[in-house]
Amino acid sequence: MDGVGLEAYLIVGAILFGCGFACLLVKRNAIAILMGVELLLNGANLNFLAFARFTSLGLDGQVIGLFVIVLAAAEAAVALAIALNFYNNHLSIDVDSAKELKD
Amino acid sequence: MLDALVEALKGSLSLVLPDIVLLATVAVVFFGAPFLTDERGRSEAGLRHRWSWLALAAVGFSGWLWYQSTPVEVGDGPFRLDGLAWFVRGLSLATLVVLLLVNWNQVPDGASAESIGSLLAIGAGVNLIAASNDLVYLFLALELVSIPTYLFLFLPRRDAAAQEATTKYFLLSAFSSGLVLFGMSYVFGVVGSTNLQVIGQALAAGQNGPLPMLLPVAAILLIAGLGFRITAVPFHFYAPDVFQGAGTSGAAMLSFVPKVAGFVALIRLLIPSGWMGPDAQTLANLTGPTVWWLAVITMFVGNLLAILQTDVRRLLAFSSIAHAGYMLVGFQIGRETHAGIDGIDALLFYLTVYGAMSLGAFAALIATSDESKRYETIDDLGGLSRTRPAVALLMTLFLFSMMGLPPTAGFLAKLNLFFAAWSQGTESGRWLAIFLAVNAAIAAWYYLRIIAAMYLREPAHAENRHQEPAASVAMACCALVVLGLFFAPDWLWRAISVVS
Repeated sequence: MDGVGLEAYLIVGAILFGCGFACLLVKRNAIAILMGVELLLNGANLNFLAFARFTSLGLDGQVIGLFVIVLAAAEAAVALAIALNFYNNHLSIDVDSAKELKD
Repeated sequence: MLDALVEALKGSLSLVLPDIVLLATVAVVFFGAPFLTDERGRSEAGLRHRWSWLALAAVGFSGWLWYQSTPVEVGDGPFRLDGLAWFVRGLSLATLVVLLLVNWNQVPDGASAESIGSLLAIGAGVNLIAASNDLVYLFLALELVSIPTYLFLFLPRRDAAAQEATTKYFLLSAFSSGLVLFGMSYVFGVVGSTNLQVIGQALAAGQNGPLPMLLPVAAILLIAGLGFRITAVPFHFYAPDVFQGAGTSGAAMLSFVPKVAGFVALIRLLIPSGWMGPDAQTLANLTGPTVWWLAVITMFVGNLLAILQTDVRRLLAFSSIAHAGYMLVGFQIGRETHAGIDGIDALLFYLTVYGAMSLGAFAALIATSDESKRYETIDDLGGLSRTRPAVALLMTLFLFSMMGLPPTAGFLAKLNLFFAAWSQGTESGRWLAIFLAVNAAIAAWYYLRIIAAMYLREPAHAENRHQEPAASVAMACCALVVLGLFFAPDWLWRAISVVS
């Protein structure tokens, strides 16, 4: 543990955030976009835990981490229901197949 | 030790009593609904009336509790009941009543319980955003608004357009939550506390922990994430599609409630309560001119693109983007005015008035549509003054208010923002005031186009006698607010003066 400092964790967190962001921009599959969102949330979570470990914050950060995990699960439950209905209508979860709404 | 903690928890629960009432009703509605629907999702006709009355009663009880409460000193617990929390709670309960009326006949009976439950949860979420005194609770309250919103958009209509709208809104809203959480994680780490009061004071005193260069990044992330909620350009692109595809009650809700949530969260996070002098460090002034540019771009893009629209819902979406720009002007001015009107007070005044006129306009759209067909384009509204004179008159009133013409409250709201920006005494503030005035003039063009269609054209549709009593009541309430606040603005100013 000695060799790894706060900055290293924050950099990994930022990389996860970057991956999630890239996922949202590049992927066209609704489930893959959802995974990108999870990466964003987990990048933030890693930050909370790293700050909790390396500063005097202690339990606070870990409790936030737990809350975020539960919340991500709740969000995924609603998301998958929406994705399933989307599939029923379009027979695909490619978000580009939805073209009803435009100027 | 444990006893003291339990006492503290009991003490903070009394601060959020009205929200607990709402959430308890949500639990009853969600739990009771499955017993009243069959396997195919149908239930007896008229069930939606009973659920709506129950929800109205719950909101009424919650409102009574709110009316009895008074702002108290901010402690170090998880919740607070300061002036802003008190004001926002009143505003959101009133909004809930109007939205329940607007939503009355928009959802099939089988899905009505879930729709009404989501609406109450959204209202409780808005209240909790204002009442939270802790980063964790603020984030959870933001999610309590956004997750039920997906359901609320999804339930009324199940066609392809509505589903596309919901999917789009869901993906972007989840993304924006991620941005907000990431920004919060940096604030938490650098300042070293989750308590909003402590964070504000530590920032003002310049006590930064490790890595203070992360703070501007955090502020930008928070503004970007909450910018989605208030539909600030460049985070606005989902709004027109979602407004067009979702049901009318969903669009009405989206035009106002996320704006309240976003602006209140922005005020909470970026402008700490308790004025600490113009030179105190806050997250807001760490970002430099970001909000200034956001306000200017949002006003111009919203108004210029609205001119091009032919679909009424898309037009109202761009108009709501433009109004977000006007409100950002107030946010940028902040509490820094030397004389005259405070920027945040002007923002809250505008927010209230915007709620009345925007919900009113959507209620008017619901009142005109019959069951088989909803009115989509401006041409559909042609000749409305002859087929439905009362609705056309009230719609005109709301559009006048959006333009900012007397005798409507929209005029006073714009005037307040203009004076707040002008009297700040800086060059950037003056430019904001000038851009605001220019945009008000541009906006008049597309609102007048709707009014002209309603009054000057031949009726586009045969006379329809379809009545929507609930939506009509909602429309009348909104009209009363829009007119009443022009003649008696003091009534609202007294409530706002509690905030600062």
